[in-house]
Amino acid sequence: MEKPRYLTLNMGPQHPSTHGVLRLILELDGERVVSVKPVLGYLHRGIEKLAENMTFHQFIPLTDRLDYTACMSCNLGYIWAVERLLGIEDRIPPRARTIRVIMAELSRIGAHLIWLGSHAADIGAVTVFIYAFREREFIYELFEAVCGQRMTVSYPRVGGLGFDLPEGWVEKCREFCKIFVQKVDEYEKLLTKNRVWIARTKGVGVLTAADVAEWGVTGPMARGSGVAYDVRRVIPYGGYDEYDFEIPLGENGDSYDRYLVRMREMRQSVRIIEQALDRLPGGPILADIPKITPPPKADIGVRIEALIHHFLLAAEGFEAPPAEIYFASEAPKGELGFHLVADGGRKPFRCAMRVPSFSNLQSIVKMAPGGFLADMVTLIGTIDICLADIDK
Amino acid sequence: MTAQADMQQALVEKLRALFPDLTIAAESDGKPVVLATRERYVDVVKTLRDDPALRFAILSHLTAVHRPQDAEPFEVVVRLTSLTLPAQAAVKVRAAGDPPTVPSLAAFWRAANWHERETFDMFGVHFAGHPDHRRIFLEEDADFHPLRKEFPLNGDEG
Repeated sequence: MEKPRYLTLNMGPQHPSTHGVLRLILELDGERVVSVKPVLGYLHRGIEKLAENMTFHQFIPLTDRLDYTACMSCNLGYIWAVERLLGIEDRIPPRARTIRVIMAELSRIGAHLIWLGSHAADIGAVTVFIYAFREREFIYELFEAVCGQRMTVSYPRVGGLGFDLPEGWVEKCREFCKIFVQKVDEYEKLLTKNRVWIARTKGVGVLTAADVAEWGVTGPMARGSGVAYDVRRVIPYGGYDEYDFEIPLGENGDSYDRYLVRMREMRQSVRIIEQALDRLPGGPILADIPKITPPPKADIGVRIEALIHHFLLAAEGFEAPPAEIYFASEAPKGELGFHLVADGGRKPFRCAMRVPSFSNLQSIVKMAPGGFLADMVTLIGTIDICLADIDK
Repeated sequence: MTAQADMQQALVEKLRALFPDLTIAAESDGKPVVLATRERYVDVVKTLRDDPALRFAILSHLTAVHRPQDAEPFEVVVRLTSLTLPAQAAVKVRAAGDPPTVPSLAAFWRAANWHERETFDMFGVHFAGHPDHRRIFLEEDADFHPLRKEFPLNGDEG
C-alpha cells in the first residue's frame, strides 16, 4: 500500500495566535491535523541557573518573568515556598496573609481576562478582547496604587509585604468587585450562547479525566475535565482554608467547558476577595524576624543591632538552614510548584520550578490529531499558555 | 495544619509498609520521600500511581539535583500528587554510570516526557527507554548542560 502523503506545515514561532514564541510542526491530511510536534526554548533564559547565583530576595523580580500575565501569583508562589523552607509560615502577620490572598485572586482574574480576551479574539470575537482588557486595566491600577508597578509587581517579601495598602485602596477594590460581577455577565452574554463561539469550542480539544492524569494536566484544564484538583482546596496554603468558595468543574472536557470553568472561577475569586476585605485585620505587614526580615526604618538610625541587620540583609541576604521542600500553589494556569534546596548558604542550592503551562501544553499532542488546522488556534487559546512560563 | 501533619505521618507509615526494602524519609514540611534504588524506581512510581488507596495520579514535576561532592552526583526527583488523599509525595533515585542514567518514566507515562527531556537538556542525565530522547530548550548541537554545578554563570570562568 502506498504511504499516505501528508503536508508538513510550520506554525510559529512568530504566529500571532501562539502568544509568544511557540513553534508547532504540523502534519496535515488536507485540513485535518495528523500529528503535532511542539518546539520549545525560544524564550529560554535560564532562570533556574540564575536563581542559584542570587540571594533569596534578589530572585523575586525574576519570578515576575515566569508567567508575566500573573506576576503576583508567581511572586507569591515563590515567597510562600521560601517561607516554608525557612519554617516561618506561622509568623506571617495576619494582615499580610489576608492581603496576599486578595492579590493572588486579583492576579487570577487579571490572568483569566487576558486569556478570555486573546482566546476570543483569536477565534473571531474581537469585541470581547476590548471588554476584557477594560477590566484588566482596573486591576492593574489597583496593583500600581499599592506597589508602583502594573505588571512586574515584585510586591511580596519574605516575611510579609513590601508596602501597606494606600488610603482608599480597600474602597476601590470593593468597587471593582461590585462592578466586575456585572461585567462577567456581560462577557457571558457575548459568548456563552453565541452560535459561532459554541461551534468553535464545543467538542474541540477533548481531554478525559484519564487523559488529565496521563498528561499531568492541572488547573482549569484539569477541572474542565471534571478532575477536582485545586491546590487551594486539596493542600491549603496561605490561609485559603479559611475562605468559602467553590471549585467549578466541567463535564465534557472540551474547550467550551474550560471556558465555563474559567468564567465561574473569576466569580469565585471575587467571592474570596470580598471575604478577605471584610475581615482585613490591622497590624504590621512584615514579620519581625531579625535575621530574615529587614528592621523598621525608624529603628535603623537609633539601634545598633537594627543597623547591623539592615546592613547584612541588604549586602548579603539571609542564611537558609539546610532543607529541601516542594511547595505547590494554585496559579491561574494550574499548579505552580517551587522545589527549593538549601545548603545553609545565602543562595538557593537548587531552585526548580514546576510551571503549569509546561505540562498543560504537552497535552496538545493528544488534543490536536483528528481536528482541523483552524482548531489549532482554539487549542492554543484554551490551554492558556505563557511561553515565558514554559521556557523558563 | 495538624490534620495535614497527621495525614502525612500516616502516609509515611503506609509507604514504609508498602516498600519495606526502601528508606522512606520526610521533608522538613512532612512530605514523604521514597528513596528508591534504580532497580525498584519504575516499580515504586507505578505502585504509587496505581494503588487504589494512594492514586498518586498526577505527575507534578520531575527534575534533578546536582550534588558534585557525592559519589553518584545526580539525583532525580519525581513529585507526585494524589487524587484521593490531600497529599503530595516524592520519589528520589540516583543516576549511575557515564553518562549518568536512570530508567525512563516516559516509556509508560506521557506526563514525564517533557520533564525528562528538560532534565536531560539541563543536567545531561539520560533516561533509558525514553521514546523521544532529545533536548527540549537548547539547540540540538549544544555540547553543554547548564544546570550542572561546574557550568559557569558568566562565560568561561576557567
